[in-house]
Amino acid sequence: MIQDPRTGIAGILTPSHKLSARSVTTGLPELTKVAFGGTAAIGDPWEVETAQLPKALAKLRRSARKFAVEELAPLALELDATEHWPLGQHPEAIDELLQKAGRAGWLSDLLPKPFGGSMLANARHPLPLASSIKIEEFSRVCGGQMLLLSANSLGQVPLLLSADLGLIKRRLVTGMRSSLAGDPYLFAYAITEPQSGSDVEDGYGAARAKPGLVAKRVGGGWLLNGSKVFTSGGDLAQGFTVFASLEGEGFESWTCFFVDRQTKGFRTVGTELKMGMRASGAAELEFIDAFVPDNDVVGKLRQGWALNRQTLNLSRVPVAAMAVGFAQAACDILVDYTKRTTLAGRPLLDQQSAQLVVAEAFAQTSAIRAQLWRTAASWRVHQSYAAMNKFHASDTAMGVIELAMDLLGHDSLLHQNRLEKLWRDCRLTQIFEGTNQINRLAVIEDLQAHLS
Amino acid sequence: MILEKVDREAMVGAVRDFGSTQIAPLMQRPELPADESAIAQVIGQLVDLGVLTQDGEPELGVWDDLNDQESCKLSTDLISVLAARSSAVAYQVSSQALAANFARVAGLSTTGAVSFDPAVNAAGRATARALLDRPTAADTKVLQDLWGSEETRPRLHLGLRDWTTIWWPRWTSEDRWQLCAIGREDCEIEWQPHGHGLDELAFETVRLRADSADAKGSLGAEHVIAGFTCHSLAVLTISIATARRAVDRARQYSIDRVQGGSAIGEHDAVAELLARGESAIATAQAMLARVHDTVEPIARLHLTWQVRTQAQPALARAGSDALQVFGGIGYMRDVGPEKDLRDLNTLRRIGGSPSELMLRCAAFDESRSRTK
Repeated sequence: MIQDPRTGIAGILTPSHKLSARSVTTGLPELTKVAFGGTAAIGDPWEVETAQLPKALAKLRRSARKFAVEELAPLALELDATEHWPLGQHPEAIDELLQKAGRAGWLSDLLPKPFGGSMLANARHPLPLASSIKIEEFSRVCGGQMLLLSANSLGQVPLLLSADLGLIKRRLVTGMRSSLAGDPYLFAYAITEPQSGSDVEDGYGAARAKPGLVAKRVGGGWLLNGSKVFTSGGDLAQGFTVFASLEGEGFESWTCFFVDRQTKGFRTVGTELKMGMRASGAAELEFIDAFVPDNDVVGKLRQGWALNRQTLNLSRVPVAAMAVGFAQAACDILVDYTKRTTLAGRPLLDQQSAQLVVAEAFAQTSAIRAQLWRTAASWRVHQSYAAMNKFHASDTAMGVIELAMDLLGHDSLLHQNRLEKLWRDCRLTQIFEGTNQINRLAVIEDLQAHLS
Repeated sequence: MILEKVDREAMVGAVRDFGSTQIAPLMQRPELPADESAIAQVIGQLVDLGVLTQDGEPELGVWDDLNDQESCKLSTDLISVLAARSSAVAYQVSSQALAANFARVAGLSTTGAVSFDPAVNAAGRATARALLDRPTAADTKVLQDLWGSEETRPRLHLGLRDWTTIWWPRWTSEDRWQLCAIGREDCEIEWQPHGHGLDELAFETVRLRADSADAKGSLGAEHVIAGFTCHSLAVLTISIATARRAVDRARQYSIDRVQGGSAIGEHDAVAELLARGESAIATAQAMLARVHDTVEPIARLHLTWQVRTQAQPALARAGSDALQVFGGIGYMRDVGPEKDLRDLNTLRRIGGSPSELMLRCAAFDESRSRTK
């Protein structure tokens, strides 16, 4: 049952009341209203925020929401509840989704047209901001499908950062064009090793760890041996940006290699059964004398660590965006539930305890989005800001979801109410791209010149 | 009922042994929850062991005497030992034991289940005022809808699906509180296929048929109060044991896993996560002991809910911190921490979430301050 707007919310002055917030827009001089008072009695906060964005980004936000609502939402609960699928036996709906996303340009939006899929007008704005806007909208609807689509971007970033125009054209642009033509070519980013989880996210740890994937020099290229784990999208990707140490050296020799799925000696071993974000596979990759030619080395030899750290700077901001999307979804569910659910003929939103929860959830979500947009509004994202954003947004979003779950009580545990899925999906944002503890230390590392 | 200490200890020891030999093997693969028939078989064995008094004379079983402090203390000790192996088995035992107790008092012979969740997690103060038998005029309409409209407001049942009778509180302006026994044949039951935690049990929403017969039996307000208390005590006890399991698992991992050249437990970041979990467990255990020392029923219920408002979020966080110690591998279903965490997150919302219980406590607090 939806609340009749004419009767307002219990305990709150109706907009038409002479003492309500509306008085700001009716009782002040025009000049004052124009300068200060135009925001009283606002409508949907999402619309207000969107209208405040630059035109191109506002358009991007609207189209991301439209795609998410029309294409991701119908699959969200079903894909989450589907039994773990073996390699190569994923639901057809995923293939269809990837084709649609490819054609719509969501798999190639790191580059503007005609090379990639984003609008040329977007290129005027920092890439982290555009990515954040898209990822928030996708996460709000389904964390698993969001990761399915955005892990692809992560795999593309090292190619872009290499600034090797030949490689970019041959590998990145070719892959993007295939996706745009409706034949999705996904990329994946492979850094985590079985014995080095957080080590590869943190220089201090890497300095003391033993590399698990090693590249050996042979004529015309390199032979890779070892394995990678937890590679998001590694089950469906065709192209991989893979980080390996050079034979006999440590992490300081890390070099990024582009590996095509067809490479002999390379295979995806399997995928993990995860707590959440279940529409996206976390794959184990195996390399046995997998040959990579010299022209598929991404960047220069021993430049991999720098590429990795720079990629993380760019990828931690989107993780914060995921968290904002999850928090926003919790807000939306809260509003819907408290309006729809009635007690003694009145919506739960009439209860002050519910109003307090909704307001708190809005405030927390608004705060992390403000932090996100501020950080993302720069082409050059510093490690400390990226890390602060990531751990603060993900911790806060979990808090918002738990607040909502407490209000819904046992109803929050029912799958169809989406909150428990949201909670499971969001929990990963506190872990990947470096645990939140590693990210806190990354802040200190970045600011040490100032702090020491 | 006078229980000899030696008997109590022997019972707890026997159940501990049972847990390690019979329950632990079922829990080896966290990603593959034991099916309901396996859990039902375990429950049957626990009946044979005397942990669950289905028929016969109550003695050393769970919730055999809700008014006896020693019996209640033994009950939570037994639940704790079971929950150390499986949160779901412990929850099922507690629910079934409570139902069996109510059935004995009411003179019924049934396999029972309980549901102590309101139709909606709201209006906590009205619920508590009703438990004090002092509802306001405005409360009555809310209470009727919240606790007295079982035809339109489904209740949540968490447990095995072999029950024949479900016990739940009902409030009406005529009869006030009653603990009602509803026959399965009088219910419309909807299985919720994707439960969030306690994977071995089913989530069901249960609605009274519009054309149903009246309750098979009913008990008075004192049983409602005892039921709320014992159900909450069970949820708290299971949560403590689940958090214990999660923290132990994480501690072992922190010793085994080397990062940056040393075991991760040597890093302050990890040590703090583990210490926070230990603190949550120790605090909850201390508060649980205090509940057992409280005799007066309303004071006991009040304290139980007060403890849960603080302990449930802290214990859930202990589970989350334990998962965080594992990092990425902890997120995978075959490792274990994520199951512990989902169990804790579910338990946090069963029998009233902390925010709901906080409002119930507020009404108790108001009443207590008025009578001082």
